[in-house]
Amino acid sequence: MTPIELSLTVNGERRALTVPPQRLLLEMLQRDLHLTGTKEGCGVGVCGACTVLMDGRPVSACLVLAAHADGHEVTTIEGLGRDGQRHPVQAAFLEWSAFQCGYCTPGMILAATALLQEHPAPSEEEIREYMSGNICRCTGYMDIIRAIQSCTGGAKR
Amino acid sequence: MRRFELLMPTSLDEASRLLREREGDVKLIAGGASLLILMKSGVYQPSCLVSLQRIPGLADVHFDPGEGLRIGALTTHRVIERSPVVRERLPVLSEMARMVANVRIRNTGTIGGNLCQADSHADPPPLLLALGARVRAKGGKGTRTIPLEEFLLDYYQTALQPDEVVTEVAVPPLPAGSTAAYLRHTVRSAEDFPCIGAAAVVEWQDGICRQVRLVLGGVAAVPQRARQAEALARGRSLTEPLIGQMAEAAAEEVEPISDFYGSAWYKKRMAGVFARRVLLVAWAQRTGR
Ligand SMILES: Cc1cc2nc3c(=O)[nH]c(=O)nc-3n(C[C@H](O)[C@H](O)[C@H](O)COP(=O)(O)OP(=O)(O)OC[C@H]3O[C@@H](n4cnc5c(N)ncnc54)[C@H](O)[C@@H]3O)c2cc1C
Ligand code: FES
Ligand code: FES
Repeated sequence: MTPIELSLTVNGERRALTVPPQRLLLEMLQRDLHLTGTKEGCGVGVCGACTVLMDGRPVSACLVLAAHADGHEVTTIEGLGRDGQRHPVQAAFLEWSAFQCGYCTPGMILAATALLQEHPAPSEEEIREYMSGNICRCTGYMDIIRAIQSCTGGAKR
Repeated sequence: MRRFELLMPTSLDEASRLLREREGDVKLIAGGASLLILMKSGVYQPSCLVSLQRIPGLADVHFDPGEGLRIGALTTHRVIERSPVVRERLPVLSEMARMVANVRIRNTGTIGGNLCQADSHADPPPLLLALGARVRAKGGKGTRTIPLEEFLLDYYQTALQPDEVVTEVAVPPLPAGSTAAYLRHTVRSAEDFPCIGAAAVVEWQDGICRQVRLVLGGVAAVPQRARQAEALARGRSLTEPLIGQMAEAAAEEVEPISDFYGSAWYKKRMAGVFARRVLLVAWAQRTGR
């Protein structure tokens, strides 16, 4: 099987790599680039653990061929903070303890980041709707929603 | 997933030629949201995938006065949801797109892939059928335009020839003075396919209902027009009791089968409930209530 040559931007860095055709974006991040912050839950687009941003838009990395990321810009949880500083959404999740086991957290934070890019001041309903595709087995969601609201000045501790 | 070869043609002719050369052991891939699941589970094990992602011009959305909205096959649900021209010309289509799956799948899943997958519980087909959409496909023998009713044949079956690629969906403008609505009923989680999808397009003239198209998804292999219900309203002014009768007629005329989304008994009743609700919405849009 002819390998596929890719050139893409991952977390702001240009990367060129050669992968087998069946490589999924999720596998490429974990195995080829050793970015293990992106998790696999369901593998079928439902849970959101594998959420990454492609050109700023959240996608399920478990259902995207690595080849289809060619020429695009991918952001994973590792690329969110800048210069050793946490991204405001990361800081808010810590502040609100919006996780327990943490497995859903990278996906939650990336989805929330994309939401806030689109809608700087979403209502609670808009937050719930946008985030409805990211599943958390631990927290019960309230702290996640509060953390996101706090980024818009909504919720206060 | 079994290993496969991945080909990335840069023109439709090339894509169609590759499909012809590899017939039987090849699949097109658009976003991959449906196909990769079926390949992971081993339902399909093609030795070759032909990707549409490098073919230019397949993701355009524009309005053509003759044909209406022309939506490229590779347009994602999310683009349809947010497109200013769709929101202006056919807001119901944008509202429906917003209900599909979750935001991640809407960012990769395409309208072409959705229609070609021909899932009996998908959201776009009932609404597009009610709107009179047509599918354009290009293959070795040229381009043809297929009304959606003739495109969707059976569970996971379309009228496409093995070497045809869907290039766009054309959705005619609503006749002047029409209203349109789509509702869905999900029984499990928010991103799930609907148990029932219900679409209504009502053409009004001086407060009288000239024509109704009432289409139900999830009740059969392909979306069903509730023709007896439609006939009840033709030439009459809608009232709540009449809408109630139409909903009963619609529930009466569909013959759902039991599946993951509910028993035949339940789906028949929900078909009636959602026929009623979608007609009420289309009615309220006219009266502004
Ligand atoms: C978690 C999840 C939830 C979902 N929920 C919903 C929902 O609520 N409602 C709903 O309607 N759908 C839902 N879907 C389905 C989703 O809408 C489809 O998966 C998506 O639209 C398919 O598009 P794609 O581009 O990914 O197609 P692909 O997976 O790439 O292709 C699907 C099929 O179509 C063929 N194909 C694709 N494009 C073309 C073309 N241009 N010409 C000819 N053949 C083509 C492929 O060969 C393949 O057989 C859901 C999917 C997932 C994973
Ligand atoms: S692992 Fe991708 S959505 Fe669950
Ligand atoms: S914190 Fe455990 S799944 Fe969300």
